[in-house]
Amino acid sequence: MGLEITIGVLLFFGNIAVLALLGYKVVKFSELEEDYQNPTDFAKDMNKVFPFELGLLGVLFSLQTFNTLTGFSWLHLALFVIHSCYFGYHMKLYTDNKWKVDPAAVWGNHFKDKMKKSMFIGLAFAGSCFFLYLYNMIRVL
Amino acid sequence: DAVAGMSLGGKGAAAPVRVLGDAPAPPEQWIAPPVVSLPPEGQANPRYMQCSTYAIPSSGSVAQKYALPISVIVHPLNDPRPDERGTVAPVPVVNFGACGVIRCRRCRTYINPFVSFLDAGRRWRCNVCGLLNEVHADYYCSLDANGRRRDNLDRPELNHGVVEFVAPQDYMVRPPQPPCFLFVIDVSSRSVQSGMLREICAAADAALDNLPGGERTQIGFVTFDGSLHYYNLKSSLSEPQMLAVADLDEPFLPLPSDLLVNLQESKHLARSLLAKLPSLFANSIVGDSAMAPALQSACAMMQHIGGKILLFQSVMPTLTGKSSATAALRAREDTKLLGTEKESVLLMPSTDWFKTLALEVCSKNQISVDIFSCCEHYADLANLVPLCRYTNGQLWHYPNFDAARDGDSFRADLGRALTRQIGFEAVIRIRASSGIRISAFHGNHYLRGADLLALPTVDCDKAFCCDLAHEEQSITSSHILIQCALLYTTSDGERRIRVSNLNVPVTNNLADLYTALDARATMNVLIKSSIEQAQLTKITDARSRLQTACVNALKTYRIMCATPLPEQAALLPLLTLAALKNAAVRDGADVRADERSAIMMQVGSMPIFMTTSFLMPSIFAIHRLLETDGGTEVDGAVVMPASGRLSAEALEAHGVYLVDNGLCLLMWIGKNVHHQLLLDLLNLPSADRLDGAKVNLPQLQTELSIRVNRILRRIRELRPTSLPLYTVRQGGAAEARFSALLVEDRTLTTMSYGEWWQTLARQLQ
Repeated sequence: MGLEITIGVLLFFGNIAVLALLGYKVVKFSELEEDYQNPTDFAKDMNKVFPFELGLLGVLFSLQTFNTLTGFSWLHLALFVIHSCYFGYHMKLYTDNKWKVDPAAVWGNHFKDKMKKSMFIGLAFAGSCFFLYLYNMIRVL
Repeated sequence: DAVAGMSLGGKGAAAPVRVLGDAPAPPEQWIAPPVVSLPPEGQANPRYMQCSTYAIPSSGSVAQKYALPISVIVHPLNDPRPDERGTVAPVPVVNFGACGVIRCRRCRTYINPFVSFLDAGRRWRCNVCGLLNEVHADYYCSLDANGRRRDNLDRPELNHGVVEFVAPQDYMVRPPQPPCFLFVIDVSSRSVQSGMLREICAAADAALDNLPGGERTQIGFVTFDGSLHYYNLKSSLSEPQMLAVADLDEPFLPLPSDLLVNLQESKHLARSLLAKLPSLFANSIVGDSAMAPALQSACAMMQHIGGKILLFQSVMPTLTGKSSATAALRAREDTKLLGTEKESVLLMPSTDWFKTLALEVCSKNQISVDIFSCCEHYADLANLVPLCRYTNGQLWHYPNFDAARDGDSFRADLGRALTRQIGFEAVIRIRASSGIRISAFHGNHYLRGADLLALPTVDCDKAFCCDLAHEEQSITSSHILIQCALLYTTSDGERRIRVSNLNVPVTNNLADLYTALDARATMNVLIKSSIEQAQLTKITDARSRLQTACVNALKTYRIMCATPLPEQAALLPLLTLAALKNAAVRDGADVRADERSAIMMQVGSMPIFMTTSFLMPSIFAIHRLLETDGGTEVDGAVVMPASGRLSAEALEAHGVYLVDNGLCLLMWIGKNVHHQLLLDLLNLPSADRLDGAKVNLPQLQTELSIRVNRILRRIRELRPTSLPLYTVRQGGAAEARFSALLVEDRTLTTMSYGEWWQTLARQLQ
């Protein structure tokens, strides 16, 4: 029981950290669009964030997997599926070496749309996980 | 779907089809004048700015159906050459003085000939965003009966399409930089043996007196092999001092100053150094190259000022330090990959180090890099190209450089790189009227903002192009203004803004787009965007892009318009076929990776007249010159012969033909050529040793020699490259290189022009 609570709390705050990283990305992107930041510095900042994000997602994925295996419920299963998709996508980017933001392509045709799409998906992931983790935390507490 | 079932392998002649009419012959004029279909008042001279089509569709859906790019090509520093100064007016310079540069308050468009003055001249309406702006008291003038300012003719900004404004302090983040040139020279054993070092020193010495900037110019030298060598050129010294640094892990500058010096003050030392360098390393046996640490040091030397790095390379970089560990290159060219789908791997960099250096260090500190690559074998230029591309530099490639053969071309190219008109710390912004936005740039540049190019240096040989897209579904205005503004520092230290304007009519008739089409400008954009595609995905995708654009454009015309294809549009298939056969994107294993990378880099900056020559070379029948060809007109201009057909069928076995593709000259000698012709032209009785030989045409006293030399001089005057001349014998081993330029002929992988035209006509039927 104590372990479940600990993991529940860790997952909740871990998810807040993911939201914070996404918020940071959104702020940086809007700075770029408003010309407060140049593409080179923007790319540097984004490329620094990705490894943290990947590591954090990896930790959350592991915790969630443990949670699902030890105390199966439909909630845990749903969270596991969401996590595995999102974490799997980031791992694929990393292994294919496509995670780096290219400063020369930042103002290209497709970067803006791609960036917006990834931020929306991230926010959807983190947002849905937030409510599910909140519910889970309340439930275990 | 447009190209389905339309392979480019030759399949034999089909029955003639009349859907498109007859295939037009290639143009005969050596450099055809630009298409001019706009009334000239207030429009930019085509030498500075051109459109791919001189009509803008009123709706996005019409633009989509058009299938060809609607683009603008700017060549901002294409100032008149010395021989043109009588006929082409220089760009007027305007100093607004106290009232500052006149711009729209909202969209920041510069004042131009197409604004309208209202309210008795007290206000002016911006023709881009429509805002009413107040006229500064110092700028006020009353209007005449036609609503024009009474001083209109005295104001170049109100009646010239290209004008230069003197920029006030607001346009400077620091005092204007002086011109700064840093030579980074490979002094490994290969450099000495091939003669590259000697040629560099000779060419640099010859150019020292003509470097732009006068008394403000700064210069420096760094040499490298297995270690780095710096040179103290302080003017108080009697001899230059060399300081060697063997630490490559953390390369440091041995002196805080005096490595970059004022040229006028230290010219004697610079000359002395250039005279001594060849002998200093004459006995070098060091075969290594610490190019990456040398570049890092060079950037550290220049970062406080910016300028131009000229990097001379004779071997691949082999030694790196801790901070440049990923810059070591290896010979990764696999000839088995050439001509396959995997060839594009060789065109992509294997390391990000050079690109990161270009973007994070060079571009940020206003440093531009030119590379002279003189390697004996594979140089992996695909990795070095980003250094030039993102800093608006240039790449010269001399495969297996040998001073005896390539020395004169090298000296000419280096001389031009040092002495041509150049601007520093530049940015270009392109604006368009409401309803149109800039959607993409093509070529060599670093996109600093959505419509802003960052250019550490900009010179007279660089052109830039961008695509226009509809922002709104429907445009209501009658004209669209496209304005290009180049903010730069001249070599005299003045900050200037060169503004070029084109006011293009809007049309809701698709046929007008084809009537106003400029095929050469369109192909300039298409070849550049195809090259980007090749570097992003595969070369086959690049070729598909070219074919699809041509087929879809003609298909749309066929469906929507009942009239015959306009003259310019009818050139599209020929130019497309030429592009498909060009070394930049053609299929086959005959183009090596380095050559393709170098060509792609060069094409990225080419203006329209260069891409046209590169795709469709001119061919002159030397043995059949008319009486006037090669002569001079009243104004001293050389009369150029008409260009012939680029087909083996048109070649006569007793003839001599000169082909100009903008990058080199080829002289094809038929197997039955008369020996007198050879004597008169080359002072040789036979062509036995002329297959693939690089020659300097002798200046003989024969009439033929005099006329051909005049023609050659005229061609070379107009080209930014040295244009080496090679001879090719009919039936010789080198003839394949010549045959590759015969655009109308069938090859192993592409159709002939006639077959291509008929295939298109069948597809469109």
